[in-house]
Amino acid sequence: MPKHTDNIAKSAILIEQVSKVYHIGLRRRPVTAIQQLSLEVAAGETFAFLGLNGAGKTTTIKMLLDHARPTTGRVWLFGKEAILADSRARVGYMPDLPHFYRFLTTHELLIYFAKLFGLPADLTARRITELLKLVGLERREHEPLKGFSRGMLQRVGLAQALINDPELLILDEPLGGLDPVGRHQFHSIILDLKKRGKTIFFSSHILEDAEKVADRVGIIHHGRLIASGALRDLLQSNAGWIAEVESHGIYSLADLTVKYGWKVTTEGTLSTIIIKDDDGLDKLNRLVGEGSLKIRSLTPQHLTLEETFLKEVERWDR
Amino acid sequence: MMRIIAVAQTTFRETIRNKVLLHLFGFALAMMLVGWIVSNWSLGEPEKVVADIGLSVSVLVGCAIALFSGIVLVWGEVEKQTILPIIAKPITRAEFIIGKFFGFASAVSAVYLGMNLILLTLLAIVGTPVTPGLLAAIYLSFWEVLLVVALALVFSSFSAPTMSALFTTMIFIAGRFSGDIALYIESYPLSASRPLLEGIYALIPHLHYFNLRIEAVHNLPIGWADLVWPSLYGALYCTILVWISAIVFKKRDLA
Repeated sequence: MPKHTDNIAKSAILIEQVSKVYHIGLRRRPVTAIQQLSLEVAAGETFAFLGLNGAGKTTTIKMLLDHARPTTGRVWLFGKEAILADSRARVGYMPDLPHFYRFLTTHELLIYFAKLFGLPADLTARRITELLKLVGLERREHEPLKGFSRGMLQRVGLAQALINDPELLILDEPLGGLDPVGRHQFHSIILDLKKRGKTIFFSSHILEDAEKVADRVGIIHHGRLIASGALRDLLQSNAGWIAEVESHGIYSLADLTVKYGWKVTTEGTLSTIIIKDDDGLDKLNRLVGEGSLKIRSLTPQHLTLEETFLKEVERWDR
Repeated sequence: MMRIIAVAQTTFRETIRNKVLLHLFGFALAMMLVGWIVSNWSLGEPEKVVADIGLSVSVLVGCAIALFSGIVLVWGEVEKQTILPIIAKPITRAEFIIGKFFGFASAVSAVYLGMNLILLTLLAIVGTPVTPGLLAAIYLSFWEVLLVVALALVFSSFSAPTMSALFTTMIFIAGRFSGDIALYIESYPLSASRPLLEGIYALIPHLHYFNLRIEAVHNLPIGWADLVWPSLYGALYCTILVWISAIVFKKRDLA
């Protein structure tokens, strides 16, 4: 089997060279929402899809679920093309703005969605009981949804996304409308699903949430994937180093600041240099080789996801 | 099939619980009562006035419900984003459209049936016997209502409510006058507008096929052919419209 076909079959999500162009207004002005996006999410992974508002997160999710069709490129879910209804049989989806039928109750809504998955009645009844307990709505299951707050609708949204016990959970801004208690409960639920081996793909602009639960991260900006990888690697690759050096007098503090643009602070005989990238590290090594500096310590710097995100976005915008 | 039934059940439930339907039902009831009151001032045969007004009100209110609720049937789902979690399930767009049609048609049928039960009660009160002709007229008008449901569904699957209302109303009016268009074509075979009129006549629904109200009110004979052929025509036309809706809806983005 060729590697490409093998990837399609093995991945929970495979997005290949996808672009999406919308035509807006009477003149059908083309607006590119997604450009040449390629992404792979392996089964069992928790993937955070990060980006600013309007970056293309929701459009990408729409293409995963056949809410919108790619202008070019293809999308697969568990080896089946996303344009096929069957590809969504093992998928659960929670929209960013949870809108449901106003005159239905939670119970009726969950039965409806269970029927769309073809679940038998006894299994449906069992799942509904479990899920209502999980999201804390067991006492309000027979109330019409029109009276629910956004936070409660968000809980209904999670319950319906889990009705088929999905292998892949796609969550669009899942924590947006929740209070701190709700967010904590959601985190626990997502971590529990992760422990159970579920694949989770979620979009967010709340980076703290992503940092808590994601294994891998992708950053989308102006419709392009500008960074992706394991969370740890991404944070380290952006972090830089802090070097404590002794200067042998050839270079002054001011020289290093001007010549290399380094931020240098001196305390006694020791100078501390913040080095941002590999290029800076090479320069430092050269100086050490020349005998200009002596390194006392070199410590990798740890960035938060927020710092990494901002750095990537700034780098791209430059 | 199970998915179509699930969509239909939910659409029926959601439509029937909407108070707008109740208000239109109340309006129909009020109009029938007005017809009853007016019939007392008519010059003879008040029962025919009640039957005539009642039959017309039930079909017009049925069509109005089909039109005003139908034009937001799919558009509303997309606009309010209630469709997103549905299409995220293993259901095809065609199944969704077919389910929507049957669910909404069932809800409109229930209201139409309710209105006509009230009409029959009123007729019993004024002493008009329920004739087979009256039941035939009620039955055929039901197909007219179904056709408006299907028409509204087509426009709702790609267009905003204002445009859908405009197009559906235009076709509904043209359909109501389809008999006159046919008569004009026959009367003026050499008219320059004949090809255009023939084209329009071929496309618009021939709603005059479903009008047996005069025959019913005046106890004129109605044959089986008057019921069977219009029913088949109505079923075929609805099928084509639902099919067009499914094709149009399949291609559009839900965003």
